[in-house]
Amino acid sequence: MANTQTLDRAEVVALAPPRERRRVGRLNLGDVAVFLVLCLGSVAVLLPFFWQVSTSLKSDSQVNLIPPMWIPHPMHPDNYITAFSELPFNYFFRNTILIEMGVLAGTLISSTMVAYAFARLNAPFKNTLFIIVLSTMMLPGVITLVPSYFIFVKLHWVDTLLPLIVPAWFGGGAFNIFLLRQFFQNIPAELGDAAAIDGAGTLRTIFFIYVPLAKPAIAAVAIMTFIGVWHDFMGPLIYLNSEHNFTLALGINEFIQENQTGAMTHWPLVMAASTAIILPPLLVFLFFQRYFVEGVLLGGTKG
Amino acid sequence: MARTEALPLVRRTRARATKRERREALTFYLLVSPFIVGFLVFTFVPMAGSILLSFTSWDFIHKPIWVGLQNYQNLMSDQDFIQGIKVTLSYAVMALPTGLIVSLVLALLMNRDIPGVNVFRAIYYMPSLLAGFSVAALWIFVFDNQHGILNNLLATIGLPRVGWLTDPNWALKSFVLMGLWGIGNTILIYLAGLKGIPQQLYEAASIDGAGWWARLRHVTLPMLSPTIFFNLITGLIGVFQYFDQSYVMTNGGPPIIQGDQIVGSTRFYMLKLYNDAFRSREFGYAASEAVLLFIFILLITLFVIRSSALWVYYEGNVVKGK
Amino acid sequence: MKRFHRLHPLFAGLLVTGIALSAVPGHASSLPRSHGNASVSIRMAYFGGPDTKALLDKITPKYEKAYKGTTVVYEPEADRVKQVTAIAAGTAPDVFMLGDGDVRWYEAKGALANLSPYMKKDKVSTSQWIKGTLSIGTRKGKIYALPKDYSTLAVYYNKDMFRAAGVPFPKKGWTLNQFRADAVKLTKNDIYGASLSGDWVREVDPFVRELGGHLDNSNGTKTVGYMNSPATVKAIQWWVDLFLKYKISPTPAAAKSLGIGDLFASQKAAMNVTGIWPSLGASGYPSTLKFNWGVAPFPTGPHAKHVNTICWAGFGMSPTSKHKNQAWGLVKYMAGPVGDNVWGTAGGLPALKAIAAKHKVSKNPVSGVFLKEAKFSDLPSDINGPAAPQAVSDTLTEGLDLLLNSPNAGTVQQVLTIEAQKGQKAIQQYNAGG
Repeated sequence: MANTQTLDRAEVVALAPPRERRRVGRLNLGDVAVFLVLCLGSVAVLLPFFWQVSTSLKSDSQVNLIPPMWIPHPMHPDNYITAFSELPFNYFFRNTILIEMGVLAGTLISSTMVAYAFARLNAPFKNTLFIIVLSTMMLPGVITLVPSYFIFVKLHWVDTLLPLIVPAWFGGGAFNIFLLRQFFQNIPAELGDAAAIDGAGTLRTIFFIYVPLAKPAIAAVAIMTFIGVWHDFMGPLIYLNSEHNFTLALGINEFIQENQTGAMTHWPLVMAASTAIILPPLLVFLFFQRYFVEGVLLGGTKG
Repeated sequence: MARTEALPLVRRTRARATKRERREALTFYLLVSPFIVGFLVFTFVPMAGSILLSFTSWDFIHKPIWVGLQNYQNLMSDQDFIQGIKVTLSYAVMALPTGLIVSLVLALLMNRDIPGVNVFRAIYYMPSLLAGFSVAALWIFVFDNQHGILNNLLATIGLPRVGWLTDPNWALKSFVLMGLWGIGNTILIYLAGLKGIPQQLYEAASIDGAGWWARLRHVTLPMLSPTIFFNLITGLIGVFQYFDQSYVMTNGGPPIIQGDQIVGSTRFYMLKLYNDAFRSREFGYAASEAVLLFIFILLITLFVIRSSALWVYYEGNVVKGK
Repeated sequence: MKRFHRLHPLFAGLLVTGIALSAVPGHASSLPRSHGNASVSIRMAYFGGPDTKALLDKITPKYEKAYKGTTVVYEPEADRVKQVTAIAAGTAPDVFMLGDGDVRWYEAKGALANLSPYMKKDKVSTSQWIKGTLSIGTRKGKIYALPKDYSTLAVYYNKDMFRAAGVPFPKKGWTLNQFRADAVKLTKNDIYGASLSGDWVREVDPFVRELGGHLDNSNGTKTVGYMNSPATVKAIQWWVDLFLKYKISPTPAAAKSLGIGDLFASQKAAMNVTGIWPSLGASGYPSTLKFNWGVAPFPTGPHAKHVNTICWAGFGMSPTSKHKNQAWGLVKYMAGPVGDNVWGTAGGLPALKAIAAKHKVSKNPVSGVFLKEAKFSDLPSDINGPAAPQAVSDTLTEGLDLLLNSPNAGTVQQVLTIEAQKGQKAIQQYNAGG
């Protein structure tokens, strides 16, 4: 088994499909077409962002110009300073990071274990249980929120970060369980069996065989979990009362609402805040993206 | 069949099998136990509570009053409820297939080894870095009649302006368009799925002389089918709960006359539910809507799972079966 | 084994921090400790973001000084979902800031404590408040909420545009017909005579009432026979004509798209019918408008009928508060002279006569106009009863959107009949909920 895992880069290149080796010599027409299509799509995707950033650098009166000003002149980068200085970043940021760490750890550990069980082990009522897992996504959150609140009141967890962190440790969410199960199920079972024969325990099999082989999926779970927590508004809104427990999403929302109500909507400030808030998730995405760069190699099993 | 597709059936000799099976079941339940505990404590009680409340009239303040099936009966003659179903179904029919297909195509394109592919992935994922309300704020701007980027583009090429959110014929389609912009997560999952396909399969196919279509047809799609299945099911569950942007951007409007009724052309089911729960504060009534939605999504999901045996292919199981 | 070592430390790190975090209940200590020693904390929910909080901070120290051993814990984001959920779970804050749309319902459901006995005990006289500002918080002679600040509606007008068009400035006692005629004269090219919301029921309401219509009955139990009465249909037709026939103001759909800015501020509209809020704060009209402008009273209807409305926020107290005396004390500080002075100096309209006099509001060319309109304020139709926000506001907004957005879809009579029935149904549903 070990030999399949230790293929080094040279071997990877050697094993790569012929298409790639051909490319070294001359331009591949298909790739050029794909490149152009993706460029075109990127323009469409980026246009709203361009508008967001452009607006964030305008003054209120520049926003109102017809025809609109595509690139603001003069620019007003001070909108960002205003947005930042009005946001109490100190503990909002700390609380958000605390929740992020707690939820990420809980989700990744817990969902891999549950997903492995569903993907690989056989037990009575397994399929029923799996439907139950899925069903937890089907009842609208705004409805279950109210009874959930009662539970956290009983646990005396309201106005603490616990209601936002602890549930992640109990299964890691149906979406993630389901996603990882799909990926684990596609991994040849011999790998796990072989590990078991080597005397590896189930947990070792999960974390040393399955998790590495499903790295792109794990990275996807991590990215989506991070972003979900980063922007979660309803949870913190309901469970946190005191401002010193607040998260960034609450703060930003407060800021946006403040600048949106009344006769004057300060779009530049709103857009500056919305732009600034997505930078950390963008960094997280870029960090995890490296797990998408190379494909997974299973080696000799299909020989 | 759903019953068997998920089960990697391992049968050695009969006697050893039962012992092994028992141990396996034990391991299964040990591993799943955090979920079961979490489910019972954090999910089952709220779910059961919501279902029970759907048989009551509850204003958040007084004790719930048991009304039996009254809420469900009232729903049947509730014009906004029926409109909520219509709007949500038409949205689902438009948004779900387009989202799944466009994201699959983009993922396939971005799975190639072309220059700048990482930049492309980041760009296409960027919309997913925004959350509900920021997306809404941004798109109010994009759709704006005078200042919006879309209408200004149309004007540049000499086309008439469109009332994206104010024209009843366009409002729902505008949400579909906006949804297409935010398919980053679906692409991400497809990409993860594509990365999970062993390179050796492509080599083998290439050696057999398969072109790109044959490789797509006989390697990529079958191997990706569990991922497609995942995106379909989660997309399905999500699309029927569409809420955030419609709440901020149109709040159900623009209204239209339909027979002797006035209804909102984007009055999504969840919007109606939310209004019943937190504007009218008739929680029991809203809970009955939630329960009906739950049953509906559950039935559709079960149907898709059942059908999945026909088209979802699990590499791990097939290897076992040989 | 090299390949997965990269993911491994990440996992280990997350595991450790996660366990550490979940194990430390340190944050639990931030739960309000209200029993035990002599110190009492009073939880107060508010909305309005950092700006409002800055104002609150000018009031609470004085309260805490007066009520030794009592501390105020702010709870921002007094969101609708959050507030009812907390009330349901018995964890409602002791004192909360309320929007005008919520008062009737909270009071009808018993979620607001009756403040009258406390006022009586502390000899807080209702006569010190400006007429009209107590009506929203009062029900059957009992007071459930006291005002924070308020606004009536008035007409901002661009003096330069009026002069250029040769239209005399509007003055006290001008009529609806004059308003319309002026607006028509001022409307040209891309300039609108007035900026009207079109579908904001609080603004439509006084127009309808001056024209003899009603949106519902006085206790908000009936919309059928009111919203679709001949007088109301005529009044709404008058309103709709402003947009579709005389085109003095953009329709809501058009306004929404232009609404990225303020039409009046950007000199695209000669008049603006609204509350005092555009003139508040650092970016308000007085400090930002570069043209000559003035404020005129709301126009008067036929038969000299003059009606205005009120937009309001206030403070109430939870009946489940364990420290009612301290909570009442906080309400008294928030809504009494100390608080009112703060809201007043922030540029809002003080609700107390003495504070308004202190700030010479009646002499102010802007706020004075709004103040003088207060005595014409009726309880707004859309908050007449606990179900009125849905039954009157949501329905009529929808109806007006339809009438203004799709002019050929149906007649005013038709639309108002449907919406009145919808409203009646909403009221029935509320009543059935007991």
